[in-house]
Amino acid sequence: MKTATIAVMLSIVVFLGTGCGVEREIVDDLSLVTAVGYDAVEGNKVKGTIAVPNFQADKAVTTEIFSDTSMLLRENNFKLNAEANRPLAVGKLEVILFNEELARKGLQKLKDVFVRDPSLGSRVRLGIVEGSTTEVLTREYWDDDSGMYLSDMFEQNIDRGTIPETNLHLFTYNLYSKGADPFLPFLSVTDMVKIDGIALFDDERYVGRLPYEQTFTFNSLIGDFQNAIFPVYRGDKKSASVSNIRSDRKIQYNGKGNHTELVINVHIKGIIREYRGGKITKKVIKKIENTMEKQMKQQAEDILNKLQELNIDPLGLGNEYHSEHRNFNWKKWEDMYPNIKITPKIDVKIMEYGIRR
Amino acid sequence: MKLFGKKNKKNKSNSLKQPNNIVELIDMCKTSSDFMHYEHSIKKQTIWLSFYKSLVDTEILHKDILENLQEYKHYSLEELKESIPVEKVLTTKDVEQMQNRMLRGYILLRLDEYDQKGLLINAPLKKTRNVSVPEVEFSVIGPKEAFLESIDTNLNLVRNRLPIPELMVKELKVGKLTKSKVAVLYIDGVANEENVNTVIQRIKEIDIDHLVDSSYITQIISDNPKSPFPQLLDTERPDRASAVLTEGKIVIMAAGSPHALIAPANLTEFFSSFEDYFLNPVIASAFRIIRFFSVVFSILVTPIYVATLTYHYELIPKDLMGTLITSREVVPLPPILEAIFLELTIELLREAGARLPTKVGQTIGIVGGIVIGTASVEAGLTSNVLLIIIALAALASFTTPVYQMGNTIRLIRFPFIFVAYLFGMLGVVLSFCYLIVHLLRLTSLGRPFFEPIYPPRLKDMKDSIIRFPFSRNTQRPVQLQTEQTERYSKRDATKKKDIDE
Amino acid sequence: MGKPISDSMKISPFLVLFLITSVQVGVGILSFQSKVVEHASYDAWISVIIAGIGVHIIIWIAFKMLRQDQDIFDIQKELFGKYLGGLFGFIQCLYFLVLSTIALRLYIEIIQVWMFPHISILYLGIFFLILVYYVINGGFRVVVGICFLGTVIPIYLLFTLIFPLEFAHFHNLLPVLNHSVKDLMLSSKEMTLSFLGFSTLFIFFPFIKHPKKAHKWAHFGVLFTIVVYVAISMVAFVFYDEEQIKTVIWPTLGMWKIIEMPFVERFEYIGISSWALVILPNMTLTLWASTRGMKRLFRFNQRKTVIVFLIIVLIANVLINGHERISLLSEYISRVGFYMVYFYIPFLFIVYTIYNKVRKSK
Repeated sequence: MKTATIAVMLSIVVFLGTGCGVEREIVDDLSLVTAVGYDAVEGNKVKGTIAVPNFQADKAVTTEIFSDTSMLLRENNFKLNAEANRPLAVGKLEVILFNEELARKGLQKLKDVFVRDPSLGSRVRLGIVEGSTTEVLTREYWDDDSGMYLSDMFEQNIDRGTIPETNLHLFTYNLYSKGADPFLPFLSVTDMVKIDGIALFDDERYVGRLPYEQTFTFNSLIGDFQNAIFPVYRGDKKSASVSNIRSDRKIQYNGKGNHTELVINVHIKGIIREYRGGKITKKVIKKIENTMEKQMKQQAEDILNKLQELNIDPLGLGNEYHSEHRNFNWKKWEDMYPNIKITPKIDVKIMEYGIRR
Repeated sequence: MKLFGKKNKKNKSNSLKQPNNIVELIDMCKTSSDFMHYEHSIKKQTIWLSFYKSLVDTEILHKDILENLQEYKHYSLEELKESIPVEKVLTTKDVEQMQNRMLRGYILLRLDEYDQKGLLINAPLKKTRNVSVPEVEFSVIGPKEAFLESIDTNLNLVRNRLPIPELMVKELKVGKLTKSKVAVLYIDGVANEENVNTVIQRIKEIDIDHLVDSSYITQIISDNPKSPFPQLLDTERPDRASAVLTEGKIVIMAAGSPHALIAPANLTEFFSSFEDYFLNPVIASAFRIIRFFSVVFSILVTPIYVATLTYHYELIPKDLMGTLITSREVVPLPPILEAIFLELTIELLREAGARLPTKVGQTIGIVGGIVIGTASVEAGLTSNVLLIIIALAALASFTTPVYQMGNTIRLIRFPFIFVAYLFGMLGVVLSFCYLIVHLLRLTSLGRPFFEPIYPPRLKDMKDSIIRFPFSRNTQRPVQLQTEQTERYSKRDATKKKDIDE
Repeated sequence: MGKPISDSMKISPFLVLFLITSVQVGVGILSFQSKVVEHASYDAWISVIIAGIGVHIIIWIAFKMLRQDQDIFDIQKELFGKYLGGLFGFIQCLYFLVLSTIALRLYIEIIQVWMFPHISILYLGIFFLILVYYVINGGFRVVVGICFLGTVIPIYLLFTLIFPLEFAHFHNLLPVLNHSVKDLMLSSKEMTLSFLGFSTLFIFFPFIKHPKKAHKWAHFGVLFTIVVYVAISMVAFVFYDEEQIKTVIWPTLGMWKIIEMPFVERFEYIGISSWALVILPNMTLTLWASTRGMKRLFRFNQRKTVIVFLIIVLIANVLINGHERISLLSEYISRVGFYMVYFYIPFLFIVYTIYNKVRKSK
């Protein structure tokens, strides 16, 4: 009797439910936005461009582009919806791009819409574009749509250690963190769209960038990474390419009482991938190691100087310092940071040199 | 037994006309044309024979009975009785007994047409097929015997495997019209007495006019007859029946049914094939785990497809997105209709295959599967991703070794799909909750059906989703509350292994 | 004392572990991190342990105070008489009813925010509550069963904690113990809503087969809860920055967002759905306790009370709307629960001990 009653009640509920209730989002009836780009236009407004892949029956993918200007990003979405044949859905968003000018004004307010919306993932990649994001998104990328292409590009570069891991979560983390500042990959558009260094932020504002050549060293100062290539220049005859199989960073605190001196110890284990000078001997290895250490140290000092000059801390030194010191005071740290002495100490060890002597 | 007889009498008086004396009885029977009633003269005397020719083996009548009567003249039924070499011969005046016995293949023998007293001789005609290979619970290795429609053969098959006096057979009669013999088997001193009594009590209480198969009993005596889950395990394997008897379970057999019932049952047994016991425990456990996952897969995969495609496009990995969308793009139907359409197609194929003769059925299955599948994809009615999913789900549902459970699994998928359409993933989980609550509430003969998962009993886990070696399974299942919990001593089991190795 | 409960209705002592755990782990675990860091910041995991020790003490009191086949209503009746004791009992029943309501409402809120903004509460509520009715109608055995499965099946969700560790900043936890005892205590007070509900023990106590043996399992249950909470808080602390976590309403769900497996992305949708299996025992046990209390106090038919209470829960769920109101209510019930568990029960224990001593000396 009871089961029957329950069954009847349930079927009534199910029956009623087919009418009212939940908003359906059938996957093939949506315009899945995979990439968005925002450019600064005059005044307070923002020009938003979105890329939507259009899957063809023969497995080819074309990209549809929608673009409009507005003040709020959601407003922008709302406006763009008027152009689309299917409702725009941001759940599969892979890449968010901002142009340099917009980033200079600050991203805090813009980013809000992405961390507030539950349908967005935390692994969305962010990037800063030199010039216009519309140009990046409208470009044709063989048989991929621009969102997927850019996302794959970021991912493979992060895996290969050319840029440090960045995504929406980490960006927000560093943005909120008192002892760290965010950074993002920097894209430039020439005949190709390419990753061209790292954009540095002072809190929410884009303040400067590191060139692509310095990313290896920057990565090693941030922490663990692998697989990147560092070119060691020793003249035409003796230059070599070294890829790191492992790298780790340790911070040491020196200075009397107050710990006013920081030493960043970087240990790199590498493999020689290329050597111009023929046979590799113990001596050669030693020399390559030394040159690499010297070159990296030079770069590291340049980077650190720049960071201290800009008074930004993308390396998260503040957080490190905080975790090692009780009775820590953020105010004091902020005053201390631009003038603190930070010495990079690089230690390179070549482990292998391929299948040839 | 007595009680049952009484009840039967009462029932009969309600329904059928009752002859008062032998003449009336014969007259009544004679209306049926397969009833033989004639005077038979042998060398020295004449006797009256009455029997149903459709029930009596005439060979026994002629060779064993009549031939032995020819030697000399008999003056009384007692004398006759002595010279007939048949084990079941009785003299009686009871009209009702005569009627009942004749209907079971007895011959009524009297000296005179109007004699009140007669001799009942057992000469039943037993037309039955030979013991054959199990077809529903087929196993590659192990015994190849299956139960038959004849309850005596079935009992013989079991008793041959358990030659102990403790094996008890309680016979009952069920069915006002069919008067089918139902046998309850258990091992005295092992099986829980309460369970035995419950079974006998419930079978006695069955009030039905006809009982032609043991599955009637399942449906009637189950604790919750409305549940889609079978609560008694049926088997056609005498080896399985005897194995569970030693565990302390009760086996119910019905005349005319090649399936014995096992009670009490629990859920995990429905997913264990008896062949598991013929295989090495590691392999058997692996198969059981595969079976378990295939069941879960079979129930959940289509609802998850519907839920994901209707609500949670975010869940789909980005690399799969293209494949899914391109396959779905031409399909005009929403995922729910698409899924229902394909599920029903599969059900149709199965149903058609099951009703047709084996050879035709196979062809229909293959042709239908390929032709309808490909055609519907090409016509753009369904997506090929779903086609793969549904085919796999159907395949997975056929891995359940017990046919009845396989049916249940295929059926409960449909409410899941509907609710998934209403609430997405949440709907899948909610229907799953309904399912487990239902399973939690089920009992088999008052013992928890969901055991050993809940109530959690580690001892019984040794032979559920995975199977431990025999040396570890030394105790009878706790679920059965057996009188003797130990099967064999643990030390003996391990010792034996030492020598063998 | 009421009718003694027959042995076949009673549960094995070790199932108490699952009863305690399942009623403690609920919606709170999805959101407690951002509340608990308010005072003790990233030392808050210590506060979680402190709050857990508090629960241990109350459990100890419970097993000291209650005799076999006795529940809190017997004690209150004995101490305060029929009317005052009954009043206290009634308040407890109401408390459990509200607890059950808020569990469902908080869960539906998550569904509204994360999955289906348009979903009708009435409709989902009916669907859910019929399920609850179906469980409770099966008796305490089934309630315990769903508590057991509601603990065992979702354990797989614990493995998902490995994924956020990819982005762990372990130095966030350092330096340890950088906060005053007062801060730690304030944070542990924030923890109470998450640990509430275990006082149903005082009502289902007579259903335990060997209460003496169950004592240890109850403690294990609390221990398991603490371990789960500490693990989840630690993972959240290394995953989020301190300032960031304060802005996140449901940190645990946020961590699921980062999960990306080859066959599934965005685990939070699966996680939230699976959470129904965690909420169900939570709701059923408290509601069962509430209706059982009504039966003990007023001899109401429990089947009928369940239906009435379910309707009340449903109406309340429909009426309480908006994040602000929901969190206000949960704040209130948390406070009530705090005083009930940490003040009233020790008080009851002391009075009862004195009462027993006095009676004995007479």
